[in-house]
Amino acid sequence: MASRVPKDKRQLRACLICGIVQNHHTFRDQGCPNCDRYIRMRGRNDTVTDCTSAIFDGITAMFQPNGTWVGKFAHINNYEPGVYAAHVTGRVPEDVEDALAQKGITYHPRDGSAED
Amino acid sequence: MADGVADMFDDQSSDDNGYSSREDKSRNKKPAASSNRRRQYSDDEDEDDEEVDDGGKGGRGRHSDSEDSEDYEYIKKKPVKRTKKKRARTNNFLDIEASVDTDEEEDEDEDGALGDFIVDNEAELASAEKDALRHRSAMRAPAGVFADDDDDEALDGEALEARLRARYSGYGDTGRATAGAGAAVDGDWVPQRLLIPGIRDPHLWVCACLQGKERDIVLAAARRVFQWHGKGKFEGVYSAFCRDGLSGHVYVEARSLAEARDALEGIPGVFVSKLGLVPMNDMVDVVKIKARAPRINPGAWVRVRRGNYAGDLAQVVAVIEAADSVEVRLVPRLDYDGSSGKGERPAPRLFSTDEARRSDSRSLTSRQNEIMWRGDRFVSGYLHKDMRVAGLTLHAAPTLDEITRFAGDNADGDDSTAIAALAAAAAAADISGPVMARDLQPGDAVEVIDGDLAGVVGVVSSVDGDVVRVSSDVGARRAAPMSFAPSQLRKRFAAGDHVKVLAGRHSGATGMVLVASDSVVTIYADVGGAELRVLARDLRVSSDVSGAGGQAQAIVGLDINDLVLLDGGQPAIITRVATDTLTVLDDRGETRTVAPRDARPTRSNADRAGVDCAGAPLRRGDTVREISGARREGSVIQVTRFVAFVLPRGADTLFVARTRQLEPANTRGAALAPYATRTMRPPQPAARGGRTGALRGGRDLLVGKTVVVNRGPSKGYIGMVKDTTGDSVRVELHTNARMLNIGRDKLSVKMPNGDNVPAADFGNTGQMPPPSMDSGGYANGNSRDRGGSGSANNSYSAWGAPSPAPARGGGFSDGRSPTASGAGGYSGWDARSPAASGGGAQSGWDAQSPAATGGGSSGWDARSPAATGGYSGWDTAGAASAGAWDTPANTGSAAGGWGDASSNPTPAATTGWDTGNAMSASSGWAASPAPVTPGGLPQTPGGPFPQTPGSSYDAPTPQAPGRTEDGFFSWAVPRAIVVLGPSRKRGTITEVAAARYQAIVRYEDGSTQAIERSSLARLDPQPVRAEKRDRVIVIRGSKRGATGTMVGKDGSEAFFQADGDSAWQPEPLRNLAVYDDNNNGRR
Repeated sequence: MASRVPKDKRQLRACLICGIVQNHHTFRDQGCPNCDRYIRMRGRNDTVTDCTSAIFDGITAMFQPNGTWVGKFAHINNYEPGVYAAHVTGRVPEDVEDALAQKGITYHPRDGSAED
Repeated sequence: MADGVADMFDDQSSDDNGYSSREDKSRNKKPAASSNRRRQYSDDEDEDDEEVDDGGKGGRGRHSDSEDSEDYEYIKKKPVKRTKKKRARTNNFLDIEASVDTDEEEDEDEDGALGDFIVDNEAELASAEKDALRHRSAMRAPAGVFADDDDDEALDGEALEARLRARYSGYGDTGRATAGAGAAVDGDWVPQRLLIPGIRDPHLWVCACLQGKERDIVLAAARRVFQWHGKGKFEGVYSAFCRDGLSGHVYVEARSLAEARDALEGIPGVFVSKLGLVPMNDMVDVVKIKARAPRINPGAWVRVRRGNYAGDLAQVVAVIEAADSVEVRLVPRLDYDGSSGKGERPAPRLFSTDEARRSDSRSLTSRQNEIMWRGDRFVSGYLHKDMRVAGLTLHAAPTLDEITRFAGDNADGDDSTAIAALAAAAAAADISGPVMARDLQPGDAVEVIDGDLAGVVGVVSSVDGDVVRVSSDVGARRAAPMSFAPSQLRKRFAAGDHVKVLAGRHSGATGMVLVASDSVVTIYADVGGAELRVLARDLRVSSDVSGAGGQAQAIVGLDINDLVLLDGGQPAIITRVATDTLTVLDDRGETRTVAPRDARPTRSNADRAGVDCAGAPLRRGDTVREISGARREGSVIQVTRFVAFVLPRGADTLFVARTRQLEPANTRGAALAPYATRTMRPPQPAARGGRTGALRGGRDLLVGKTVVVNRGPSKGYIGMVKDTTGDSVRVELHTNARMLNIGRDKLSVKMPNGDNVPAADFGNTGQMPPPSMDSGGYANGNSRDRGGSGSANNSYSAWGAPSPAPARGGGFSDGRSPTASGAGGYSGWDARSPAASGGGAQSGWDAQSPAATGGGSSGWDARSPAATGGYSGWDTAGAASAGAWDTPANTGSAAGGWGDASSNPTPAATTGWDTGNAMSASSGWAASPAPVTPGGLPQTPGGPFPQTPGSSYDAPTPQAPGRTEDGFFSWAVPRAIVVLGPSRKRGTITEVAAARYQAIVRYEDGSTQAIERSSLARLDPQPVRAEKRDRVIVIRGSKRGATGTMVGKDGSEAFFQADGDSAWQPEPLRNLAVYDDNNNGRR
């Protein structure tokens, strides 16, 4: 499913919450496949800008969330198959973090700052 | 359990394969749906990724793609059924499934009750999604693989646990969102340290690839794998990734090598042949590797990459969260009135409100301290702009110059403060990088600039990674070392510290700290005397002293005012040495900047001479004046054969002049060049050869010689020549250390062999070579012997041409013939041979004197004694000439080179000459043990000492110059008086161990000097030539060791009365040395 892989190498952004890497317009048009139900990015350019980052490192293409150790290690094995970033620079704005917390989700920044 | 598992699998497989009737309904639906989905997949592959097929995805429970309420409904219901179906399979694992099942069903009930309550909804959706995933894999996985999988799980408790955790996260916690964001939930956020790979996990394969292509490759592989995933391929491929910190590698998580290879093969840039397994122990490290994320802090310097400000320095004002853009401030490049032409950008200049108002006042608005103009924002003259980080070069490392320029007008009047502030801000922002930690060393004085302890001063006691321990004595009490981050510290320097610059433009330079303001330190460079302003972090206290060039100095050994040869041998003088460039002034007067590798240093800067308008040699340090044009005057800094680089008095810029266009500013020597007329010179083919090389012999050869005053009130006094000026010679008398100015014609030089030679014949300012060069040895065949080998010496013709001897007319042709095969260059020398041959039978000096008087110029006869082959007396004198006729460089060559030279003259000669002169060893010269000037005097001590049959000395075989060092030990006898050392001090040999090449000399003042082979060339001991009534000792020949009293001499023959013998015995003068009768060092 080619749509899981960003077609355009430019304007790639990674979701600050789940780390999925998509083109900016994909985020804008379709939202984040994992997080959009919490933080609606679809159609909201500002939210996309806030909750995604163009600075990321180490892309990982996860094909099968089931059984992948790499995905498990990166804490993406519960997400959709797709392309993820290992490290995403930046944090979501505080209001977004609050909104996530309200929904019972602890936000784990993917900028490597909370490495265990 | 294993059995149970096996059963279970049996059930399972039959269930999966046979579609048991129990769930026929849903099953029947399933394949349809899944095939539909597969189609969707393949369709999607061809479609643009923006096109989303909601239906297809919804069918798989992919709520995230589309959240139409219909989908919701669809999802909400379907999963339940599927869950049940799934449970039928997974139930076999654990009992707990049952409760989960009910639980979820309850949830769903609640769901229904609560309507669209989002959280539950999400939990629902999530479980639905998980089911979907599970379902997918179940559908896709071939039975075998599946069985394997489960078998693994059954055997691997850890994996099983992890899997269950993953699968049932959120169980019993309906209020919490799980599933899709399950990993975000604390309880399920398994720390990475617990996630070490097990043997059940897929292997990790590493593959080499082109650097920089990693991302493309991963994406390409991902496209490929996703494309085929639903079609039975790549089932064992789980993920592919690259890490920015691991360039040139991509990784594939796959069950088998074959699958990993399939996933990558054919992708451009992948080297599938270099595919290997990552050891399990390394897997965590590989996955964890993280590229050092460049961190930007406010205040940091960056450089703009593209656009109107490409290359410009900018300072970060603020970092905009989401971290992909920063607010920077720049010196604006504004085109207020559209005057700039197309394609050229305006020069950077701080914003001018006046100009802006003049050209477009309507768009000019201001609020608070900001000015908006044409959509741009300006704060105190700087343009503030939001820029994407991707468009910036981080860690711009600006030079202080740039910072100064950046500070620009804004800082006028008080610029140093402003710059310091800027630099401090930048430093504070930048040093958080590794730069500072690396630059700190134990012992560095630092000041804490940040944190609670700001202001504390201390000394670094240790640096451990990014932790710097600083011990300080606060309040006179020595506190325990405190730890700081490097970014909290600043190096401290005090005025007077001697420091070295570690980085930046002045890297490598050393100097003394003049001013150590905050973070900018002004140092006074050791070389060049320039004041350098350097950031404190780039400095370190050091006792090193470097050249002005810093690194350039270190690398190529070049310094300001050095003469270098550019491409094609073009001479130039270095005017500035930067880190990696040299600024030179070439012989055309052009200033050029060249790379150090393009500038070849000349062999020796010491002994060059050009020829001035009058034909007199022009040397460094001479004061000259142009003979035409501006008649500029100055002192010669460097000179080549044709051009001189002259530093005008009181100025600091050099100018270039042809040497022929220069005349001495003081007219000394103007009358001394009777032969050096212009009409004579041009035809000399060898002007470029060694001729001038000879001229550049440097200072007057008389200097340093021991002379006897022949006439006048001081007649009879012996002294040493200190300086010469024209015809006047400054002599320091031995007797009472008085300095006298005596006419050259009133002096005669005491030669080491005891002869006195009229000083007038002795190099006066290095004029023409004395005809005496051609004494015996040359004339009588030595030159002929070597005509072949020494052929290349056209320089000699240079000598010959201007050489004075009128009597040479015939000589030229004569001379040429024997050596014509060689170079024809010999002519000059041979030309004189007639005259020389006349004198050949006499001692070299005698021979030359008549000729010298004719020639008047005696610059060369100083060397000629050695060169005159007939002069057998000179085999030791040869050594003497090495030292006494010193050009500074010759001692080394004398020691090392001569031995070689004696066996094979030509190479040795070449060595002497390889500065580029065409002149390779002329045998005639080579034979000469005259001073070796590496710069190019042709007197390479080459071949065997020329011995002439006509030699007046009947010494056995004259020693080859190559053995001069041993020579001392061959004649040294205890109690012989010698002169040695640079100042030619007298001393008595007290002990000699010739076999060991050791001797001890006691100076007259009582101090002793050991002579060894290694110091021989430097000390150059020579026997003191005996005079009448001296006590003497025979140092050579059959009577060696005999002592007596010298009663007289006749030419080079001496007569001495051996002790206890009344008869006078003849002995060559050179065989005698003054004998220290009392053995106390006094004559």
